[in-house]
Amino acid sequence: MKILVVEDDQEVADYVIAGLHQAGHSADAVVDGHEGLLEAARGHYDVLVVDRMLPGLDGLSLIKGLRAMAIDTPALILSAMGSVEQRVEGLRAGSDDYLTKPFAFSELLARVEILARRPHASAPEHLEVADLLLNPASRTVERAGTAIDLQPKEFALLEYLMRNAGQVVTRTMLLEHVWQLDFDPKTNIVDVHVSNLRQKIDRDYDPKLIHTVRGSGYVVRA
Amino acid sequence: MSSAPKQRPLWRSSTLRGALLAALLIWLLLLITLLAVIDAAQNALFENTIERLREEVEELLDAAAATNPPEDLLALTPEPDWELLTDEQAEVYEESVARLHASGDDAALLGLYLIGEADDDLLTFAEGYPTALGAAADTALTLMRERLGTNTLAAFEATSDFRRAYLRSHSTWQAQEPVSRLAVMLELASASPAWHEDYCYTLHLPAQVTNGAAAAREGKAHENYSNVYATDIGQESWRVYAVGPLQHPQQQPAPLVAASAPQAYCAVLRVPLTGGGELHYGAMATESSRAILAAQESAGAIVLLTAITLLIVAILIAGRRLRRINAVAWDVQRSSPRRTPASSSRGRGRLLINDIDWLRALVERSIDDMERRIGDVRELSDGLAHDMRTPLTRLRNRIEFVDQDANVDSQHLEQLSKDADQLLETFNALLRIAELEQGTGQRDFRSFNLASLLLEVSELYEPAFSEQHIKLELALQTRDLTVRGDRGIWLQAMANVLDNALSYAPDSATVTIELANRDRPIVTVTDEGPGVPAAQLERLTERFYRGDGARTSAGTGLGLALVAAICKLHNVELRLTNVRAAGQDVTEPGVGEVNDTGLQIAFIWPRDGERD
Repeated sequence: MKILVVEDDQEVADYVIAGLHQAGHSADAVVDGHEGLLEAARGHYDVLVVDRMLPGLDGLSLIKGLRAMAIDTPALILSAMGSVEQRVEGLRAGSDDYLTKPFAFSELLARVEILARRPHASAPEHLEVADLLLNPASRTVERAGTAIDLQPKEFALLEYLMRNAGQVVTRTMLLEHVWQLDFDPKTNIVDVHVSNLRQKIDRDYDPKLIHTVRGSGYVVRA
Repeated sequence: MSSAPKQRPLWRSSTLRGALLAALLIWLLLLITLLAVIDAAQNALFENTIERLREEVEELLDAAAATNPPEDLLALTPEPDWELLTDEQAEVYEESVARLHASGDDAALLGLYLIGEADDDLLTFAEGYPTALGAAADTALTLMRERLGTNTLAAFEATSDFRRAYLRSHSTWQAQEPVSRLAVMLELASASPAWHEDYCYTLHLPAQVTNGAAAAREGKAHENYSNVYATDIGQESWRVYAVGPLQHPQQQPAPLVAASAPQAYCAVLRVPLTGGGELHYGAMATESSRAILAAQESAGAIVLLTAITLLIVAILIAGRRLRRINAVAWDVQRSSPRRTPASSSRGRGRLLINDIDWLRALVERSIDDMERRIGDVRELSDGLAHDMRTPLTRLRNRIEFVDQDANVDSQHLEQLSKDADQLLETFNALLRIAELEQGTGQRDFRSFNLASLLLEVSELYEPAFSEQHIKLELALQTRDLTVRGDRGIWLQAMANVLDNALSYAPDSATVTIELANRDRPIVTVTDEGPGVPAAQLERLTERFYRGDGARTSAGTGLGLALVAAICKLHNVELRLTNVRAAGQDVTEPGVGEVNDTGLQIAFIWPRDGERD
C-alpha cells in the first residue's frame, strides 16, 4: 500500500513514516500544503494522511481542492484540534476520517489500513467469517447453522467488526462507529461489550473468531 | 444683618452649568457632522475605486480577447500517458478527443493542449497568455464534464499531469498580479458550481494588511470573509488562501483588518463574463483612503477629548461627594468595634446609604480583579497543558517504537507508556475544560430528548455495571422532555458521572439515574457509595481537587470539573448532595461524618422560558 503523509512536524512525520514502513507499507512525506496537493494529485496513492495545519495550504483546503478535482483518494486528517465541530468540518471538507493529536501509532495504522480497503460500496448481502454469518438486512446472526440472538448494540458491534474482517479495529473506532461517541470514557466499556459478544459468538464454538490485538484493539478473523 | 450672601462655588452656578452643557451639545453636533462627512468621503472613494476598477477590467478583458491561442491546435493536441490508462480508458479517451475536435471549440482545444503539455512548456505558455489561460483550462474542463461525461474525465485525469498543469498555471497567473491588488480572480466560467466553490486559490496582499493572524493560521475563517483561510505571512506580502470567490457580507468597502492595525479597505468589482461566470476584480486602499482613515482617527481623538472633558466636569461636580464618600469608605475600612454610631455625622450616614451602590461597585471590582487573577493562573496552566502536549506525544511515540526492539524489558515499557498516556489524558481533559470555559468553538446547540440521551448512556454502561455487580437503574418519570444543547457533550458529561459512580459504588449497590420534571427538567444520578464530607462537596468540581475522602483517589481528578464546565456552558445548575439510601438530603451544616449515604449529582435545567 502506498501512503502520502503531509505533515510539517518533522518528528511526527518521521515517526509515522517509520511506523508505516515497519508495517510493510511504502510511504512518502511532504511538509508543505502546496507540495502535498501536487503530490496527492498525481494520484498514485492509496491513502493520504494530512495534517490540518500546514504551511502553504492548510489540510482542509488541500482536501477540498483534491475533491474538486474529482480525486477521491481516501484521506485522514490529523489535527491537534479535537472538538466535535472541527471533526465535522473536517469530514465535510471531504476527508474520510479524522484523528486527533496526540495519537498512538497503532490507532493511525488501523485507520489507514481500513481506509485503504474502501470503498466497499457494493454492500454484500451477508457478511461471512468462517461459519459465522451476519445478514444486515434481516438483522440475523448464525454460527454453525444456529441462530444467535444479539442486542441491537451487540449486532452493530459485530457488524462493524465483520465489515472490517481481517483488519484491526481500535476501541476508539468502535466507540465512534458503534456508539457515535467522540471521547474515550474512563471505564473500559468497549471491552465489556466485546466480552459479552464473545460469550454469544465464541464461547461454545471453535475456532474463536474475535481476537484481541494487544495494545491496539480487536480483529475478527477465522 | 449686613452679611453678604454666601458665595457659591463657581462650578455650581447654574448659568455656567447651562453654558457648559450647551457647549458640549454643540461639540457633539459638530462631531456627528464630521463623522457624516467622513462617511460620505469614504463612500465617494469606494465609488471612485469601483469606477477605476471598471476601466481596468475593460482593458483586461480587451487584452484577454486579443490573446490568440496557438494557431494549429489540432496539431498541438498531445498524446496522453498511455501507460497510465487502462484499455477501456484509452478507448474513451480517443473517442473524447475526436468529439472535442469535432466540437471545434477553441477554448476546449486550448485546454486539451494544456493537459498534454503539462510540465515543461506550460510555464512558458502561461507567461504568454496569463489571463486567458485559467479561463481556457476552466472552459475545457467544463466542456469535458458536460459533453463527455465523468468516465472520460477520469481518463483525462488518469494522465494526472493535467491537474498539476492547472495548478501551476494558476499560481503563475497569480504571481504576476501587482502586489497592491487585493484580488483578481477568474471565477471558473463553468456550469459546475461545485468546482469553483471548492477551488482554492491564493491572494497576495501587502504586508501592512495584518489581521488576526493567529486566528487565520489556525484555519479559522477571516472575520470579514467567511471563506478566507490560512495565511502565510512574509515580510512583503501576505498570502491568503480562499475557497471560492471572496464572500464578503455586503458590496460595501469592508475593513479587512482589525481596528488596531493600519487599516486598509478593499473594493471588489464583479463583472459577468460572456462565457458565463464572473470576474472578481479588487483593489486595496489608496493614498486618499488613507487620508480618510487618518480623518477617522482624528475623529476618534476628538471623541476621546470630549469624553475626557465630560469626565473632568463630572469629577468637578461630583468632587465634593466623592471626597465624602471616600471618607466613609475610609471609615468603613478602619472601622473598629470601639467606634460608636454617634460619631458618624448625619450627613455621612445619609451618604453611606445613597452611595452604597458605589461601595458595592468597589467590592465588585475587587472581586473581578481577583477573578481575573485566578483566570490568569488558569490561562497559564492551560498554556502549559498545550505546550506539554507535543513533547509528551513524542515521548509516547518513542516508547511505542522502542517496544519493537527485543532487548528491552517490555513490562517496564508498557508501564512507561501507560504513564505517558495518563499524563496526556490529563492534559487533554484540561484543554477540553479550557475550551468549554472559554466557550470557544461555536457549538452545535440543538434540541434533544433527555430520556433518549439517558437511555443511550445507560445502555452503554449497563454491562460494565453488571460486571461489577452493581445495579444500574433508570427511572424516567417523563419521556418527552427536550432541552437545547450540544448532545454529544452531554453524553460525555453523563459518562463521566457514571464513571465516577462505577468507581465508588460498593458491590451489589444500586446506582439510580432519574429524570423528572419538577417544573424544570431535573436529572439525578445517585450512588450508594461513601458520601463526601459536606465541606468537600463543593470542591469536588474543582480541577485536581484532592480531598482526603475515599472519592478522590483515582483518575485524572478532572472528570467532575469537566461536567461542571459543561453545565456552565448550558446554564444548567449542578448540585452535589449527600443522600441517605432512601434519597433524603443529609447535607446539613455540621454533618461531619457521613456513613451509609451516597452521593447525588443533580442537573437542573432552567425553567422553560429561561432556557436558551
